[in-house]
Amino acid sequence: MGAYISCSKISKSFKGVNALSSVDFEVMSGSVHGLIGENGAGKSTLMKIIAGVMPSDAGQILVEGKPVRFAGTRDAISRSIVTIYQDSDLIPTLTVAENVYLNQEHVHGALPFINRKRQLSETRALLERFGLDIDPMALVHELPTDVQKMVQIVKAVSKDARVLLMDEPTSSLTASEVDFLLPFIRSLAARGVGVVFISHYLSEVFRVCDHITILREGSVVTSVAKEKTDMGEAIRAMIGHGIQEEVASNRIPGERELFAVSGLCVRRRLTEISIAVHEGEVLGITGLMGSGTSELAKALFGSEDVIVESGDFRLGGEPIAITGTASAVRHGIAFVPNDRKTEGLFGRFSVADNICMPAIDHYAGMAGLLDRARMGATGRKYIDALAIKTPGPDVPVENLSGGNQQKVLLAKWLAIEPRVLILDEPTVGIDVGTKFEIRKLIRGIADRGMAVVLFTSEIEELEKLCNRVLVLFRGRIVRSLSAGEITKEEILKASMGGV
Amino acid sequence: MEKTGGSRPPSGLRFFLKGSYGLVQTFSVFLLMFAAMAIFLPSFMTALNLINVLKQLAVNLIVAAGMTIVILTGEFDISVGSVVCLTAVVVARLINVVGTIPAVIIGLCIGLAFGWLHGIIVTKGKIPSFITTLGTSMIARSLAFVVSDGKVIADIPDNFKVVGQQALFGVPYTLFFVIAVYVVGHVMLAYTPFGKKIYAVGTNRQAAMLSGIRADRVKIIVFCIVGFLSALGGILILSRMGAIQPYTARGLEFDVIAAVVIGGTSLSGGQGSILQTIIGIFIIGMIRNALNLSQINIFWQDFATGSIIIVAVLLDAFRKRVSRRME
Repeated sequence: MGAYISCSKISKSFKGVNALSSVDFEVMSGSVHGLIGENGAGKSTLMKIIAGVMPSDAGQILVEGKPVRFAGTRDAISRSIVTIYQDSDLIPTLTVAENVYLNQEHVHGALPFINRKRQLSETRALLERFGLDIDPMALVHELPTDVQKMVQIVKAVSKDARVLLMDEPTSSLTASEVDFLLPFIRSLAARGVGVVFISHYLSEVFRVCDHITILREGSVVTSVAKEKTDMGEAIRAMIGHGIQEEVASNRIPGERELFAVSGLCVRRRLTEISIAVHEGEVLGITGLMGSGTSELAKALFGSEDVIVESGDFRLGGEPIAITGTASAVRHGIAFVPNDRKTEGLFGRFSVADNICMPAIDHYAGMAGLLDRARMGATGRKYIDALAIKTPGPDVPVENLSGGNQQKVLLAKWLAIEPRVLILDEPTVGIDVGTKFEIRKLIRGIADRGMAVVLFTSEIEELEKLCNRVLVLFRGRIVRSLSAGEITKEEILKASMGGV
Repeated sequence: MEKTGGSRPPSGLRFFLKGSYGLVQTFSVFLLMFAAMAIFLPSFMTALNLINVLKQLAVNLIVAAGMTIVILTGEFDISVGSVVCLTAVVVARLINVVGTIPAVIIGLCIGLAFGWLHGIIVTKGKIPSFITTLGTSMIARSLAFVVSDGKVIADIPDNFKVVGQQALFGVPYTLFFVIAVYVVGHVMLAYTPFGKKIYAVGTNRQAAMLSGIRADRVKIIVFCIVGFLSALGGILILSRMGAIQPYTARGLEFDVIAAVVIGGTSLSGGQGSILQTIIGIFIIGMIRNALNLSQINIFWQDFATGSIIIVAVLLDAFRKRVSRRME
């Protein structure tokens, strides 16, 4: 089959900085084209140009051989080019069918009333066609995340998409959900749809794609059939050099229990959870989405998002009461939430302000006024220590790249010099290079004697970083794995419910 | 587009259009209007008129400072007009019974009590502040009628009127209160940990909570601040007018919220400052004054204010769009 979309010599710059320079890119019907590169490499910019979100400065786009100019996303959609954004475009309070037909409702002939029956039956047919067992009457917010993602895709396909642009479609999914989604994407390709698959997860890219294009600093460095390359080569091409990932520590964690909870119950989510972390230890906790991992992370930090019914906390052997996030911070417990935008950072605040925020009261100097100099110094100290790429401590944190924002989030908690560090998915959605850096940092933190509780769904992270791994299933700990036993098979078996 | 690590210093047009420089823009609008009025309305640029305008705006300024702070946390208080009135009525009632100082203290406590109540209902009861304060606004207004029996209370001792009616070296005493409120308020917002927490809660409540900030407590304190300032406003109104009736300060909340918006403080919280609000108050006050002086039918006043609010918000939205496009 020929190229449905063919871009040649696409260039785009922002404020004089080249985001894309002379990029060639093709999408074939019936094929999955992986687009990879570090944050800032230009992947999203290229996507946005193809989707009609923004025009290119130079270059040409051909659709089925004819030159086109997209003035907006509508133009792209009218050429059957549909984008599935990282964030869901579904309305959570509407049903699946209502979402699929949102803004293209079936009505009763000339009357302006929605033909619910027809929408339901057609949605049902559509879902069946893709082998999906989803109730078209279900409300979207009641569906699991992976199912929502598939509804999003079905909705896109219902617009007769010839090309699907997918930006990080798997970033909010767990391993088994991904196992469900990837074959679905293959089946779309088998139907003749051309798919562009952008992802940081290289293993998935290699599983699902036919062809891979690698961008670095706005230029194409490689564009080859999947068979002709491998992950190591792809990583080298992405970052421009090889990386030696050596995070595992030889240090044996101390015997002293630093932080523990026993009999923790969270309403409707967790039953009788008991964990203990020792100094110098990285305790991994994993489980499928919905198994209770994020609730456990929040419960350990005293967040009001979960309702703790019982549980006894101990810190350094002494019983403590955690009555809220403020009391957790006072006890030296720090929490890096998984969603840095909505839960972690204050976008418009400067890097230094963000870093100083949890201990902001300690920066009051004379007459209770903030000691800016000291805040700046703290900011600079952690910018150096974590190698955060920023023009300075006074720059708004939202101007930084995702990976560097994640480092700021980490710095913000290291700045209170905690005894216990709880991390929830600390490397989600960031590029490979920074990912390795952050893992190294986490290991280093533990090696300095802190107790680290790492919640993650990335098995690689559990294997490489953790001294021990607990697996949650439906709100209970079903398995505890010690150093030698931490393997992908064991973890998957336990998290799927097998013991 | 993907952001890279850098951001260049703003320059020229970019500087003017960037969202965070609201003060510069509102101030230039203010200066333009001021100049226009000075040129076209000779009676505007007289010391007497200007002092009068300032005197009339003093209470709005004080209440608006509180309103800005509460809006910075992402909440509203539309009960301020009623609380101003209730305080004034209660103080007027008590002043001849218990004496000036105790009456004033009781008045301030009424403001604090309303603020505390708002804070508790909003944070613990999880009721939107708009609804909460709509309810208490009606309660406070009703109480004002009950306490005054629906009549004007004019029996106010002369010594109490000094603050509202007299001046020190030509500067009305009330202005010293305004200056004090704004100096303390601005220092608190810009230079103290508590100020940072206010912006943090308004920018991203969830992140604030997960940073160990007691967001509920911040909101309760902020509601107490606006309640206290409303009560102070009520006491100053009583002192200036020397009499009070239960209709006083009706609709004050809308003038004040309008000033906050025109000043450029974001209604979604986390962005803005009380200095911008001063300009917002002056812009509205100047328009009212201009319409008065030019003897245009008084009924057009709200028409003008309303139009300016719409224009201000449209300009702000436009500016945000432009600056986003320039990112």
